[in-house]
Amino acid sequence: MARSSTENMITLMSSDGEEFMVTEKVARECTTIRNMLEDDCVITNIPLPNVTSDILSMVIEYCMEHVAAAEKAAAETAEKGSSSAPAAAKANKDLEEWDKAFMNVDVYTLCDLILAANYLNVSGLLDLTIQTAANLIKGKSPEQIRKTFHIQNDLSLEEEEKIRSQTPWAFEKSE
Amino acid sequence: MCEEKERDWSDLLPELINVISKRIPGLCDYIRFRAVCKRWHSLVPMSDAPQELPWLLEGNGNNHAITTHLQEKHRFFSLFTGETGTICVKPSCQGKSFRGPSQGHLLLLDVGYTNVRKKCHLFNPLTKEEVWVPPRPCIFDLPVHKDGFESWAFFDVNTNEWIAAERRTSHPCCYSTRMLISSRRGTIAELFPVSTGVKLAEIPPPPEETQLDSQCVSSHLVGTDGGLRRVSMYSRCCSNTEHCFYFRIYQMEYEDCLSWEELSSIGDRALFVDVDEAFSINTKSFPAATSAGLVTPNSIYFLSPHDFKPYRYDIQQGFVQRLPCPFKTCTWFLPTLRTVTIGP
Repeated sequence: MARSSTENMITLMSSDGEEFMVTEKVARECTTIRNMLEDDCVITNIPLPNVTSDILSMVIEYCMEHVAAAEKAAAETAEKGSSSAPAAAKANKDLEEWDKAFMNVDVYTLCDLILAANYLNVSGLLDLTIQTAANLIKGKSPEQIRKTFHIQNDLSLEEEEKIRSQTPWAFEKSE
Repeated sequence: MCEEKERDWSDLLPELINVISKRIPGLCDYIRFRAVCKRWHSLVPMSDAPQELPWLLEGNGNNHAITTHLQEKHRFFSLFTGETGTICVKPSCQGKSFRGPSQGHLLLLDVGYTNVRKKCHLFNPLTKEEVWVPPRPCIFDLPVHKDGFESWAFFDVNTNEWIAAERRTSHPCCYSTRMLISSRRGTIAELFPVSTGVKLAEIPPPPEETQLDSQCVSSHLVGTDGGLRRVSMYSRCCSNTEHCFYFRIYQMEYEDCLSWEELSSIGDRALFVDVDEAFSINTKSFPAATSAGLVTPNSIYFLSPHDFKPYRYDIQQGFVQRLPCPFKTCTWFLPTLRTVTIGP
């Protein structure tokens, strides 16, 4: 981490006014910020009015972990001349485990993370959060999905009956 | 209030709802996802429903699906998503015998019929759609038992007619408008134009199996997106289920003369082999299911001729894996919501 002192630091400001100092490399994980930096290279302070401090700190945590993993892999490749396949596979698996643990959040946080990942354009995080949401839907009845995501059923009885009657075989999951 | 609104899942941006819907690998999950609320229902179109991996459809025959007659209800099971359900058959189709598998449609026959042209139609149990004449033979390459004799009927694209051919103990397969017929033991493969049924050429069989203790159980012709394949199943006496079956796969080659060339891999494809039929899918057409590890490429999913249960043969590793199945007898069925249009 000795290098960090020579790296450009960027300040990200959340919607509730909290400031986060990150290295440019970490900030560049967000394509939206990378584009801003490329348009205006002297920018050091970026307000993010759409992201709250608790969500921004999570996004930064995700970006830092992924930047660190990529740096570690690059360093190993440079050291040995070539990357060893088993070591790379283990590093990938470790990162996957980290992602999985990182996704242990409630559905409100998951929703905020999807919105933030979409707004900041962090493709890896968007992919991870969308997949997590899809996994939560798998094997559930519409009522169970509503409960999971705290969604009001605004379909009338007639509308619901009409939807079900078109493909009744898909609705056998117990409510 | 403002914060609550931001966190409302039903209010998520339309493009994000769509991205989520594309990650749902199963057809039933997709349909239930659309039934959650008004907004999701309007944002997620039925026409974008994922293509579903084959199901096992419960039969009620004594030993396997060949003799199955459609009842009021049939259960299905997806090996890949674990989904089970029941499809209801409308009264006009009940009691008819069906042959499977097909591309989403069951071929229904009136019991004791004599005229193939009038008494045979295709039925999609998911949409309840009935089609009296199939659009093209390469999709509906289904053999029809005629009066209990070993003869077959197939559909002619040019005349929009079914024609029957006398072929004993054969497994026909339509491939690029030519009918190919292989015998059950895999010794003959003949090329027919569908329209005339006149033999054009005969492909010499592949070399005899060299493994002495094994026996060829069946041989199927399968049209795939990579060419015509011949799949031969062999059984051998072995106490270990993992090794009691193995397969040989051949590709039809056109150079100089027609011949079979053995393949060591079928790449991204997976083959589904029934007692009577076989079909191929490309796992790349099922991105969500494949990335979730639900279906294994380079595999043959087959029903054992011994216990009629599903198994998977791993082509690269050469072993057989038993698969879960809640039914006594069953057949593969490729579910679809697609509507069939008649004509070329």
